[in-house]
Amino acid sequence: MRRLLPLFALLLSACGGVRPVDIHDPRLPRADRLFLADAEDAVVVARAAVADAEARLAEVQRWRARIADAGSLGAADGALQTMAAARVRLARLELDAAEAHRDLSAARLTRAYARTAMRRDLAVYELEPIDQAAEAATARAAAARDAVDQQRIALQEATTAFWQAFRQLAASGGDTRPLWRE
Amino acid sequence: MHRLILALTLVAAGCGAQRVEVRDPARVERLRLQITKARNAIEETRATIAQARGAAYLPELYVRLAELLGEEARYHYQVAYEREQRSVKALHVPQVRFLKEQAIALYRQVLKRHPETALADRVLFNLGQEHRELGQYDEMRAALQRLVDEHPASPLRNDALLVLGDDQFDRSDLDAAAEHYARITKAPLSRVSGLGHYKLAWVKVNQGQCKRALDHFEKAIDASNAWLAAGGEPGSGESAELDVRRESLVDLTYCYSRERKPETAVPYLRSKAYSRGAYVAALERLADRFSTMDQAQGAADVARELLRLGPDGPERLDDARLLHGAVRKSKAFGEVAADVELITRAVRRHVRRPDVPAEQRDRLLGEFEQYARDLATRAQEALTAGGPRAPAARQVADAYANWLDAFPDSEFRGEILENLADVLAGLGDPFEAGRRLQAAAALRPAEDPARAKLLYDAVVLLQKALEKETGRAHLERVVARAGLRRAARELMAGTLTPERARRVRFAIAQTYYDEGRYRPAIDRLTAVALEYPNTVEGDAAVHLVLDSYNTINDLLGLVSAGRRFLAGDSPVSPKVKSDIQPIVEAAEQKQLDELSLAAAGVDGGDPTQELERFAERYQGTDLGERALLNAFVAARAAGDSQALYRLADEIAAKYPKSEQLPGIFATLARTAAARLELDRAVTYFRRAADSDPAERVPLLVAEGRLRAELADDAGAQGAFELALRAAETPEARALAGGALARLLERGGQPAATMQALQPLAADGAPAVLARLGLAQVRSGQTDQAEATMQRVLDAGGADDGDRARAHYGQAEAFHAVFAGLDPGSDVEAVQEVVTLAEIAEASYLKAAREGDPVFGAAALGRLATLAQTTATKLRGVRLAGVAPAQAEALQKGLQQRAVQLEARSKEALGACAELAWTRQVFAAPVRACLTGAAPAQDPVAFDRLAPRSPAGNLPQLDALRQQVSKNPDDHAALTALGEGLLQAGDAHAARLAFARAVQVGGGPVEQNLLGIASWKAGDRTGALEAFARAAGGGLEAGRQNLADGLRQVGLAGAADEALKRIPAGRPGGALLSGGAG
Repeated sequence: MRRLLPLFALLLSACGGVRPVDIHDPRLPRADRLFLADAEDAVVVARAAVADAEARLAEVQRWRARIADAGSLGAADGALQTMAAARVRLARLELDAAEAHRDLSAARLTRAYARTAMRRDLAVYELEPIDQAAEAATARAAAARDAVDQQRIALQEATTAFWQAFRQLAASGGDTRPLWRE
Repeated sequence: MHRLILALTLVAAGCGAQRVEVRDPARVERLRLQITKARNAIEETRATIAQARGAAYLPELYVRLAELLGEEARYHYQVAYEREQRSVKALHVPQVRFLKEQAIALYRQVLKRHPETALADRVLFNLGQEHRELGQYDEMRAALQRLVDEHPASPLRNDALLVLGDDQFDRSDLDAAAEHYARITKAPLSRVSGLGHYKLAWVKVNQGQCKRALDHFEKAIDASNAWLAAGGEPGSGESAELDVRRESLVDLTYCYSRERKPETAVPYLRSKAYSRGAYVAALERLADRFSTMDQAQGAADVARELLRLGPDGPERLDDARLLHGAVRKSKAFGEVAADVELITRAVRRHVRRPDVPAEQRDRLLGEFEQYARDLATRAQEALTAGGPRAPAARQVADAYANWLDAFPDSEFRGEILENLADVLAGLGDPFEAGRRLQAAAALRPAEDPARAKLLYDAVVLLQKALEKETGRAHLERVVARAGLRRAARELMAGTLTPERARRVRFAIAQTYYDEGRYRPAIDRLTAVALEYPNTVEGDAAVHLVLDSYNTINDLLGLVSAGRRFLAGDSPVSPKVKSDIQPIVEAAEQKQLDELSLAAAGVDGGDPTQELERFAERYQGTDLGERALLNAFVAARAAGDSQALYRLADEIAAKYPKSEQLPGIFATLARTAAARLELDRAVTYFRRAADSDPAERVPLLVAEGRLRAELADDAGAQGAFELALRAAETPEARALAGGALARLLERGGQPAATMQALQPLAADGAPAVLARLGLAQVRSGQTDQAEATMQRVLDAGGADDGDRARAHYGQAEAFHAVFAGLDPGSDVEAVQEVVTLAEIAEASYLKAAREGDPVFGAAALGRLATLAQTTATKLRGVRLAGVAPAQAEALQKGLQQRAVQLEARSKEALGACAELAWTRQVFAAPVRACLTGAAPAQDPVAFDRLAPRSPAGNLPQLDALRQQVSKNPDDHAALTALGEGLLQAGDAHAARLAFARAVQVGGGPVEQNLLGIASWKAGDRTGALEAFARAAGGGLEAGRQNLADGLRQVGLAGAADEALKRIPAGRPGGALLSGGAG
């Protein structure tokens, strides 16, 4: 039981006024319990994804700092900084998307609790605002994903520009060692 | 505290009193004590003898006395020996002679006085010993010989033979000695059997017969073992001090070295040794022997064994030296690893001793370091040279490793590390080789050029170690990667040739790839690929970049990187480009598949956006087309009709030859029809038909039907005629022809109908023939009509409506002929009239029975007319040429028949009108019947729809259209959509909306609205029927609308009837006149 307390706290924080429904409640049919369990899992997975995204952002930021300290790549410096900025921005947007997805999972869980409770006469809720919240979270998550997709394309463009500059630097006999120092 | 007090006490005691040292008693002192004891015993024995005269044990006492005297004599001798510091064995000790002579006298006395005594053999043996010790060898021989001869079974016989043999041996009469010893060895096993063999062996050694000597030495060991195993006691006297087994083992080494192969020596000695001590002693002797013989192989083996088993001591150092010399001489390096280990261990164990001075320690370490290094390096040379005697590489490597462990501070450490690395590399262990080179490099100063070379070689080796994916422990891979990067970084801080720089950089990049850190790996590999194109490393880097992206499933990255490498100005070689081209293309396909899958996801957002972006990137390619098609499918699944139309136009514009276009247009047409965007649906049906020859006919027919519903009869006819022209099979012509026939029938133009349908009659489609036949009837071509109708009835596949038309048409044809008949006064003519009437009546009844509401009602109505006409004709008959009575009877019969017919006429008319109330049928024939008068002409007519007022786009209805798109059975949305269309003035479209709403479950309200829309569209029949159903469902508005509608079509009486028949309903619903019910 003690081990489950953090999960309950997590779930409560996601519910916004709707009481969590215990998936072991014998009044629920099996299909409802499975449905709720899946929704709860989705929240946990989404939070883990946020942690991963935070770690990736930190790593990219560290890389950028190392690159800055490694030395100059001459004419390719500008392109390198642009690419580095694009990578950092992508990591930030991925974090935003992960957080939006986490919020979406939480909103869906709340909706699942509310609907199940209503369906099984366990509680009474005003469903409209809950549905609206879920729709809004869906829209935010979709928008965040779109932003990530756009930034991925932008990053590839910046990457292409950097490697072109790098190639020119190497072909002209420039010092490419800073790239290997970080 | 207590301990401190005790310590202080001890110290105080030590400083205060004088210490008394207790030593062991001196040997002389002990001997003197022994002498005293012996003398006491002698005295006692003499006293006992004095009192034992005549006793049976008297000889024993004498023997005992003699032994005591001899013992005392020996003690005296030993005292003198000790006094001489044991320097001389030949001593003049008077007491000894005196005592021994006394003993000898006693022994003789016993032999003389008691010749039969059981102690005789002992007496003779002792006598011989005493003579021997006095140097009286002749007497000794005599006594012992007598013992041997006279007492063959005595246990002392062998001892006597031993002494005799030794005597002969000492006098160099080896044959005689051998004879004596041989008598011992041939006797049963005894305590001295082993010794006998041992002595005999030495005889053979001195005779130069090593083979036989070896044999006897072995037998000496075997006999001694056998004696002990049988529970025998070890020997006493001389033999007790001589361990025959040990001595045999040691002494046989000389002959062994002469007779047998040196490589068998150690196993042989091991097999013969009964204890470690004996074994080691024999080995030491053998080592000396082999050393003397300069027998390197044997010396090496023996030295190894001694180093393994021998106790610590300076001798081991000599053994180590021997081993080194022997191995070096024999060049047998097969065990060089163990040899080095043994040598280094010997010196290390020695120098650890606290009594070894520091300078000696250093000297010894230096000496033996040299030995060990010498062996290892020579072994490596032999390995390099090859040949049958070349050692295993693992041996050489281990030898070096042992050396490194033993001499960590040696000045030669760096060289040895390099040597070891060479061997390990040859052994196929690049990991260890690389690490050793790194260690060697670390010993060199930073400015030493050799250091860079070593680091570079280390990098190459560690890189090779990482190439194998399996067979390496995880820790080794971690160490290899870290080591490689460390070495590489140091190298890159200095100056490298371009080739080396390339290899080093690639190696660094590869470590990240190996570690699974694909992002950093990609950066570095890309740098190598672009900086060093057309090289082995550059080409490999390209592949690894793509593989890295593939591993982390970054398809966009893979494709982007791939396209960069494939670009025209990319320096990557053409060969690599051709290799990666299919990889990139496959990734693009996979990317599209994943996007399509994501588009079908459930996380909201625009499902088509990414696909459209993808399509834009790949515009003009198959991939771009596929992306747009997938986006189209996604939009349809999401019910996004706007996107659907947009994408369809985009596909048509950008990919006009796409094979999917017909399906797309057909989909759009159905989607538009479902959304009640009817004008758009018509357009897309036509576009679909134009792009899909296989489906052209049904698509044009669908277009035509829709146009007909929208009051565009000309357009509908055009579409049907186009379909007919495109129809190549009878089935296709039947489809198109049937549709055209229905349209023309509704138009009510028999001539035009015949003109259009006559060419199609040959196909025999029932729908076409039925309508052609009716047109022929209406045109007065009754004979042709009859034949045409008969074809319908004879054909298979005619539906109820077709058959109803056929029967009705035939009936009308008969009716037309009947109408022209006048029975006059001729009986036969009357019969003909009646018969024809009956035939027509039968056909009308068949038509009514088919169940078609329109033609069934028409048949009933016309049947009423026929019956009435027949009755009238019959009433007017005045028969002639018939007898009056008969004429009167006939007349009466005709009158009765007329009455029946009039009743039937009323009945038929009533049944026709009743259809309005029982089946809510208000088609034109029913309306004709509702007037109360039987229809004089064919009452079948179809309402012509009023011209349509299209409402246009109506964006305010988009949300409803979207709802209907997603759920075609949403009757509430359909109803709302219909109301919107009606409000906008498009009654035709509204009519279709309400019709679908009713179809999917709408109730009286929807029926009523359908009626209103139908009325406004000009479909009186449909409107009245809808109002009737709404009224039947209990809606008052429907009831009022029905009455209102009936009045407007001139059926006021029917209107009143409707209000009478249908009870008042509930309020609600719209009124035909406007307002609400």
